[in-house]
Amino acid sequence: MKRRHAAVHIALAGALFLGTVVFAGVPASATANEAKDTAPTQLDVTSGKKTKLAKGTLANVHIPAIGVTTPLKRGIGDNVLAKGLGLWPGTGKIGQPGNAVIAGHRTSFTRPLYDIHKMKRGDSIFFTTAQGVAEYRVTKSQIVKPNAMWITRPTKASTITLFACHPPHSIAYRWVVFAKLHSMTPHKAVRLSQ
Amino acid sequence: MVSLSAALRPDAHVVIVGAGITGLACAHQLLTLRPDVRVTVVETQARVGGLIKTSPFAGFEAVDEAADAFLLRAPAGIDLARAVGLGDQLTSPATGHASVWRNGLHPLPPGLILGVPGKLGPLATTRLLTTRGKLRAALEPLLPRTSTDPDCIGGFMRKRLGNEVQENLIDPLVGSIYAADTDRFSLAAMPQLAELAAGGRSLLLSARRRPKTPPVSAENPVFAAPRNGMGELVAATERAAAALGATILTSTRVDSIDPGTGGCSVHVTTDGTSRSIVADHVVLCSPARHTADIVRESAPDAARMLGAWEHASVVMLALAVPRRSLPRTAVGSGYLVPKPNQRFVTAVSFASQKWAHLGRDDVSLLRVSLGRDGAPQHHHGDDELLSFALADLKLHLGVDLVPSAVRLSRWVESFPQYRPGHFDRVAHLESHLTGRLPHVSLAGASYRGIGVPACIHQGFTVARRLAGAKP
Repeated sequence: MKRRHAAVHIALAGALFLGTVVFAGVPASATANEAKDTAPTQLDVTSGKKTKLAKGTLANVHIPAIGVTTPLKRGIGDNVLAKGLGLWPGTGKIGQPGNAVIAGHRTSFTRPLYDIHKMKRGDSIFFTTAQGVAEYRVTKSQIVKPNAMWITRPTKASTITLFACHPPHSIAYRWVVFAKLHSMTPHKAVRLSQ
Repeated sequence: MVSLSAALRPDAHVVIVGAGITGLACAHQLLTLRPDVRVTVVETQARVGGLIKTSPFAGFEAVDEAADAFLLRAPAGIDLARAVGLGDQLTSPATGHASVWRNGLHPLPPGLILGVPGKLGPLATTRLLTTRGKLRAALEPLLPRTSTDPDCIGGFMRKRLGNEVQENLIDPLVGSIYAADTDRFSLAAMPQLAELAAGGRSLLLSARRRPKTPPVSAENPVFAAPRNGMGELVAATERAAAALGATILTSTRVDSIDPGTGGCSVHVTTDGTSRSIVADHVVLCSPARHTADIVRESAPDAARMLGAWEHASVVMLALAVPRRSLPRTAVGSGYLVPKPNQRFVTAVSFASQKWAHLGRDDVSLLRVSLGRDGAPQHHHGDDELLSFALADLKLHLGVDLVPSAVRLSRWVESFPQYRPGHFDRVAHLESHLTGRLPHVSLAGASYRGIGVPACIHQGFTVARRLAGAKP
């Protein structure tokens, strides 16, 4: 990870916040105040750590099923995909209704989606944004031709479409994984002890 | 613990580095056997106890942040508890029944010896293994002898009992104790398994031949803990050692040790002021990494070996949830998650069910462990860890838990990992160390046993040798 710049981080957090991320369950304003009031005395017992995103990162992505931890950035150009996953500009946003289309390399650079074929229905994909953690669950996987633009179609529900090249080392097809928002937990949604 | 020096001379000064349970037990034992000796315990942190810590949580007076009990099979733990006056304050888990989560909670079949089936009946009916896995395990008595070399639990068990027993029974049971990956862990370091492996060609037959141990019950518990948590064992040992005359210096860092004739000088720093303490003997009970720094100049080979010691990091999350929100499947003391099914959480303890004194009508306490050797989780932010833990609990228990209180303890680089050939490496290390520093001994979780009784035992052993008592 590169050095994180607090100012940029805060600006980014603000920008994302205006971008309206609606978390199920707890009103965001309430949690923000509560987090201040209940200063974490119990939390951080040994070495407390704030959730931080590196500069220019929309979210940290964790896919436990295939052991992936990688940043998600905006854009699907070479410079973005060389470092992790990229969110196709103009498609949906993480945690919001609509379809967020995400690309990643299968075999080159950091090859985050090397094991994309091992993801099964029901597997979780976690996105840690500045506001909270969004958990998506895989609904289906499919192999399509590169010209299958229907995979980017907007949806009413909050979904993501994750794609990489297929077969490995070839660009003849694409391996596509569809996932649907399962839950969202805003940061500090839970009252910390005392 | 090998040292060329014989027993201490009268009125000798012993410096013990590290006021964890090992160092405190060593100090107490030494002063009990030799009241003439002066003992100074030096601790870097402001508090004593090292990897044992208990604090109030969610209205409970004492909830452990790390280990919540010690094994009774090894006598050192109970011996220390009795010696420091906690003999009548010990309690044991109300239930010993645990489960394994494998796309559902499955109770562990009875008769397991650290995951090795001692009885075949319960194994035949468990849903933790497929029929194929059960048949593979049942083949074990027919297989030719398996060499215990290389000294690795996973390799040996996969060959004897098959991958399914290794992955769904042995690895969760053994691995969860030390945050270990048993495919990279020394077989000799788990004495019970090593004994079974050495007991004959077949593990299953050896396990069956074992003398019948009475079933676990209130009269015959496997674990014990002080009612006020494991921190009480540390506090009582500290009090008892201090009453016998031990000096305990907290917030004092040991920088280095210089060998001298018939002793050493120990260089320490308190609040930025450095000074030297002259000692006849030094017992290093500090974590391997810290010990490496201390001996870097005086014994560079030993320091290099200690610096290469590998450790696992874990996160312990305590959650207070409404008692009614737990599903009916959440019975027993808790459950383990085998590696192929692991995401973030490795084990969950239903503390309010496990311990009678933590039971309450309104809330139920959960202690959730995240991360292990090869899969660290402590680098995530606090919020992330909490979200991941709750997502895993939802997956395991099928309910959305809304905790009323959360406590997060990061134990970074806390569990030494005994790689294959560990004990040979320890012997090698000690020969390097005693060659350069004859008046220095080692004890603690990095060397001859990770558990609390094993640490106490190592402290006792050094103390007895120094006191000139029979080991």
